[in-house]
Amino acid sequence: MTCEETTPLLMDRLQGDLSPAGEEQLAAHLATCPACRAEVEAMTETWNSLGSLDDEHVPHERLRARFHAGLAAYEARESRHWTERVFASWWPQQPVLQMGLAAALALVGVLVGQQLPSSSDNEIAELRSEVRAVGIALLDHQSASERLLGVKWAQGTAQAPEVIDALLERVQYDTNLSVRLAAVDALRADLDNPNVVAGLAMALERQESPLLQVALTDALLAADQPPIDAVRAVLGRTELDPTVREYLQMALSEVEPETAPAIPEA
Amino acid sequence: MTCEDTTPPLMDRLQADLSPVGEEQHDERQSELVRQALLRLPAERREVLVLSRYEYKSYDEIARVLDCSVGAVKVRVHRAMKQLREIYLDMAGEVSA
Repeated sequence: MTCEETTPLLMDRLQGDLSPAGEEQLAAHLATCPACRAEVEAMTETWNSLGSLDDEHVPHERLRARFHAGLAAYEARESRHWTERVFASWWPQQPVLQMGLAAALALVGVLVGQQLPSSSDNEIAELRSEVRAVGIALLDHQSASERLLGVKWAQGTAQAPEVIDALLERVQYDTNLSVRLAAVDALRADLDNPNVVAGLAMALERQESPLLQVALTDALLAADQPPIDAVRAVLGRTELDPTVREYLQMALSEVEPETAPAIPEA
Repeated sequence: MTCEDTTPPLMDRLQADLSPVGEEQHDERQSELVRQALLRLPAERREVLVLSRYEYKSYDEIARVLDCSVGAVKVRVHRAMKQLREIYLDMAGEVSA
């Protein structure tokens, strides 16, 4: 076995997922290779020291949301293959036939629509408001993972004012950092709404988690009219994490490169 | 129990709260350094590391999301750890220097 081949075995072992056969292979190589032995030791130590961080200090940032979005995209990719296959089997290839079929389907749609009772619009609206009520209830759930689900739901929905309010409330008051971060992420789609910008700016004033400070700054500076003063005010805090300070200064200088002001030292 | 009886345990407790505990402080400093190092890691490296170490995602799941092979994910996490270690050791050196 070459030294390079030890990497996947080591990574499996760190995740506690190395088979006995793999363990034997790895041990056999390590017995003969001091360099790999040192490497495995160093990596194991690093892996373990990463375990010393509690969840509050881990920069999950937008990871959860991105991960789930990525997974959903993958699943959509997979299922599209299937639907495309079905679709391709009956959808005609010639443009004339395609147009004919499209017109026929449109006609069927109109006819069916006329037959339906006119109350259907109301029913749909009712259903929507029911779904919204469930989503908002999730946002207020006792369990953090349910609240995360609620935030995820809110990300995929047209933003009614009460949803935005519920999300802003999560950003401000949720006790779980991941929920606060995910809510900031969900609100990024509504940065053209001045209430959202104002709410996030208010949250930035109070938040003490470095990760949230960074996420909020990112979001605020992406707004059309970023509330630069609110971001700059954070730099005035004496207890600000030095890494965050560095980051904020950099982000501010990118937003207004020409007028880059003297940044107050705490 | 009189008020006087409560005094020693209370003082002990305060003492315990105030006196620095060497090992704990060391651990805290180490955690802080790890956290700082993690923040300094380039975002895409941090991403695979956090997913595998803290989100308990399997390499297989990460590979599906990143649209690459499982082998490539392991190499990426490994690289991220190597770089994290370098940053950490640099910072630890600065602190103790």
